[in-house]
Amino acid sequence: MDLINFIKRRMLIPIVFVVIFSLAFIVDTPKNIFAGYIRILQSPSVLISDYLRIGGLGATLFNVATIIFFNTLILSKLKFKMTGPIFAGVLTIAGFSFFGKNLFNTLPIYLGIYLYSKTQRIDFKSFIIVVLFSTGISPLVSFMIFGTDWPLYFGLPAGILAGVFVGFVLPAFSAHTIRFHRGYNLYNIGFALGVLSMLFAVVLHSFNVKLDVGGPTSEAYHTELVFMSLGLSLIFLVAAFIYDPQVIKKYPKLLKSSGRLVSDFISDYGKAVSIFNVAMMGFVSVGMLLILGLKINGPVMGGILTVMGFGAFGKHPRNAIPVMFGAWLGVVLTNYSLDSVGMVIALLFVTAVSPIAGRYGPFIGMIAGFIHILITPLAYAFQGGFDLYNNGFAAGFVAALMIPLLEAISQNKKLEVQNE
Amino acid sequence: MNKMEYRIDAKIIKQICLFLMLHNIKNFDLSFHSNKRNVIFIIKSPLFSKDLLDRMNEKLSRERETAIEVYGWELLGDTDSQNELDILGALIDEITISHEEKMSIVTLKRHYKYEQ
Repeated sequence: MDLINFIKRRMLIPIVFVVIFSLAFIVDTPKNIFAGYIRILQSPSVLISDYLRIGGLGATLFNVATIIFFNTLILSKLKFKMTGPIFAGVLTIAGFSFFGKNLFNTLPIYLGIYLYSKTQRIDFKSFIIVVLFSTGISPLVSFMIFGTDWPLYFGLPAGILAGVFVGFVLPAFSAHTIRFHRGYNLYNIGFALGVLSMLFAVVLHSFNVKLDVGGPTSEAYHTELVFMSLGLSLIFLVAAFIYDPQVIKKYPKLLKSSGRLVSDFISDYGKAVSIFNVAMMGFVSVGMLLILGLKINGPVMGGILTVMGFGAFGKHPRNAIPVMFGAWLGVVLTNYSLDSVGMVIALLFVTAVSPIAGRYGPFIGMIAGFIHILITPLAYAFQGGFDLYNNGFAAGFVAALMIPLLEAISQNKKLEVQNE
Repeated sequence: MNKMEYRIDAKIIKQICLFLMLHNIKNFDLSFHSNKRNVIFIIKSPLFSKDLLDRMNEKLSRERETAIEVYGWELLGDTDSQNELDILGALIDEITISHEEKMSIVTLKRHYKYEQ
C-alpha cells in the first residue's frame, strides 16, 4: 500500500524508471550496457550526439534510468511533492538523457546552483525548477574534458569549473530572461542557457578550439521507441482513469488554459487531469511523427518525453497542435527539409511557444510555429551547440518578437470596444 | 530586511493594482505594512463583486511555493489578461476576506523567507 501511495505521489515517475531500467536489460547484455555506458560518459555530447548511436539502446536506456533515479532521489531527500514544473523537469531530463545528458556532466552544474544558494542564504529547495532544467548545458562540461585536445589535467578542472560557473549564475540570470519573452517561452531556462552557451562558444572559438558539431543519429531502434513511447502514454492514460474515473469531464477546463509560465497544471487542475493531458501529449507527438513518416532516434525520443513532461506545465493539444502545424508549414513552404534531425525535433520542441497559441488563438500560434522553425537553425549556429535546449533559445526570440506587437494590438482592440 | 523581499513586495503591489484596474475597479485603497517577519497588503474597495472576490480567494489561497516564486517572480505585474493571479498565489501565505458596511477588505499576508 505504501508503494502504491509512493507511486501516486510521484506521478508514476517510479514506474517510468522501472520500465526504462528493465527494458535496458531486456534489449542488451550487462556487458554491452556497461561498455556502451562508458562510451556515453566519455562522449563530448554536444548537439546533436545521439547516445543510441554512441552507446546502443541498452546503454542509453540505462543512462536515462540512472538520471531519473538520481533526480528522483534528490527530490525525495528534499521532501518535494510532485508539481507541474517538477514533473516536467524530471521527464525533460529523462528525454535529454537520450542525447547529451549523463550523470557525470550534470553534477558540476548542480554544485554551482548549490553554491549560489549558500551565498544568497536561500534554501536550495527554492531553486528546484532551475536545478531540474539547468543541465541543458551539460555538454559544455563533457566537451571541455573529452571534446578538446586539452590534456586531462587541464580539461577536467576546466570542464567542471565551467559547469559550476554556469550553475552559479543561472538562477539569477534565468529569473531575468523570463521577462524578455514575458513567460511565453516555456523553455525559459533553455533561452538563458543559450545566451551562456553563446558566451562560451565565442571564448573557445577565439582560442582556436574547434567546436564539435555532434554526429549522426541512429534510427535503428525506431520500432522499439514507438512502442515504448506509446506504452508510456498508455500507462499515463490508464493511471488517469484510476486516479479519477470522471477525468474526461474535467479535462476541457485545462484546455482553456493559455499555458503561459508559470502554469502548474497539477496544482490548478489536479493529478488525474494532468496525467491525462500528459498521455494526450504523448499520443499527439507520436501520432504526428507517424503521420509524417518520420523515424524516432535519440533526440526525437527526447523530444517526445519532454513534450509529455510539459503536459503538466503549460502544454496541451489545443495550444500545441497549432504551433506544430505552423512549424510543419515552415518546413514544407521553405527550402528546409525534414531530412534534417534538427528540423524533426523542432516539430516537437516548437511547443515551447504553445502559450502564444493558448493566449492569442490557433492562427497566431501557427505564425509563431512558422517563425520558430525558421529561427531554430540560426539559433544553433549562434549558441555553438552547448545548449541542448536550442529550441528554447530560438523560442525566446520568437516570443520576444511577437508578444509586444500582439499585446499592443489586443490593447487597441480593448480600447475600441470600450469607446464603442 | 533583504533587498530581494522589497523587490518582490513592489512587484506584488504592481500586480495587485494592475489586476484590479483590468477588472475595472477604479476606486480602491491599497496599504502596505511590513515588519521583520512578514508583510501585509490590505486592499479596500466598495466595488468588489462576489465573483471577483471568489476568484481572488481561489487563486490566492493556494499553497505558497517558493520554487515558483524564485523562478517566476519577475513576471509579476506583467500581464494584460484578466485572470492571471497564478504566480501571485504562489507568493502569498494567507488571504482573508471581510466586509465592513459597503466596503470589502482583502488582506494578504506573506512571510519573509530571505535572510538579511
